[in-house]
Amino acid sequence: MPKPTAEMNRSTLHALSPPQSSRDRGRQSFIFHTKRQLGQFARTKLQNEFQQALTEQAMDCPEGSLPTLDGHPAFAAWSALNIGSQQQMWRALGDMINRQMPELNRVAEALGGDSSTGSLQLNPDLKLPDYFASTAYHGQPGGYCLDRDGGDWYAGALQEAGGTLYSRGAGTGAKDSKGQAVVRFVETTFPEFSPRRVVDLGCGYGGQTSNYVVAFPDAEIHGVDLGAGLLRYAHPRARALGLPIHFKQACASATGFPDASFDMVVSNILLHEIPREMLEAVMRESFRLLKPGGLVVHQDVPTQRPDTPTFQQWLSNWQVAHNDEPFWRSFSVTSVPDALVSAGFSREAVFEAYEPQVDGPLLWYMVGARKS
Amino acid sequence: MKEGAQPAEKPVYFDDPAIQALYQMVLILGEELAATREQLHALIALCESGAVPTADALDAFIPDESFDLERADWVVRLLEPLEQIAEAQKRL
Repeated sequence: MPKPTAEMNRSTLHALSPPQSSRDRGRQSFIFHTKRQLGQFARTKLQNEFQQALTEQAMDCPEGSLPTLDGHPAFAAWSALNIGSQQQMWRALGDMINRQMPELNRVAEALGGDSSTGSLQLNPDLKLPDYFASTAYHGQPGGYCLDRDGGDWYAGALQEAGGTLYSRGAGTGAKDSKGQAVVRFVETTFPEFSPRRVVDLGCGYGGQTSNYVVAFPDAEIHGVDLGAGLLRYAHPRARALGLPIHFKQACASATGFPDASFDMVVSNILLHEIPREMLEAVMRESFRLLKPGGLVVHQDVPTQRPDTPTFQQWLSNWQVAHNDEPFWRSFSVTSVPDALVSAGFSREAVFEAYEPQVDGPLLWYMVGARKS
Repeated sequence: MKEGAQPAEKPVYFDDPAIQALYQMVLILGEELAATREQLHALIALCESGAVPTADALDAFIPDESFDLERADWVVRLLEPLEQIAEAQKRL
């Protein structure tokens, strides 16, 4: 079938996007504006409080770490509202999806398709790692491991809807796409590179995987994730968009694909969601999967950018402590280049870069290597 | 994973945990009011255009940008007291 050429981003709608009722629209716009306003308050008033605390702390303790705003009434109120807003977001989106689940199931079943329109390979015997089974990433109820019955795809639908509303509330534009940022980076840095087989590790609901289909129309695209509930959504979602992607339930560190079977290995914001030993195992798997001349690119949050403003670091720390991000800290002190070298890549082949978002104010961290 | 993973307990920022609960209640009320405002806005617009305001018509109605500015404005007003708390702290 012809492959789509349209851009895939936060505005992409498809047959499985749950239609918003008037009430849904009102609830979600309230959450969006609340998040925007709380962000604005943090960047103005809280930042002032923080700078003052920083100055006072520097006088008392020059070697001190970031100050705390505990005890500041405005900080307490802002924190309570932020926590409440995140819980409110999941409930509003969950209500919207659950209410329409029977109808969306019918839509998914009616999509049909054959192997030329992608595939789904689940593994009911797969033992989920403890960290994955016990983390409700970003506070998403049930986490990415939720699998209420043999056909459940709620986790994937919630991941897409939550990611979109959360990032828009945090200031990311509707046209943003992490996968497109990777594609742009690769096209600029390795202009001659043209992969025939690509695998996206920790692909989740497949939103970023879509971009590799569009960017490399002659390539075979695969997506791997641990969450059955994510992949059961990713597969019909991709079909609904006309994207032939092959999804497989497996760990990013043990995909089960043969050695040297891919030209390109990518991941999008996977590394900060996994423990350090898993990150190292993912680097070894990236090396194993690549053919000689192949390229690995992992895109993630820029926790180690040397010139990150102190207030931004403090704000990130708050998010880490309150938004079910148990591995952010370990990621922020792990050298991914060292892990790549330990996995087998040569030091000279390893690269790091900070790339602007496609539609947003942040920079993304790109780290990877070319296999010689 | 039938039950899945559950979010971690969140810290309480006030000596009296009821205050944190009150903030959540305010958000829930705000959300419900936003839903009602949305439906009311659609209802009035449909009536003014002479359309039959069925439930489906209400859901299909997409407000224009000026209504989104109104949405943003009243959330600003709802959260304005935060500024007062910050200012009051400075005066202490």
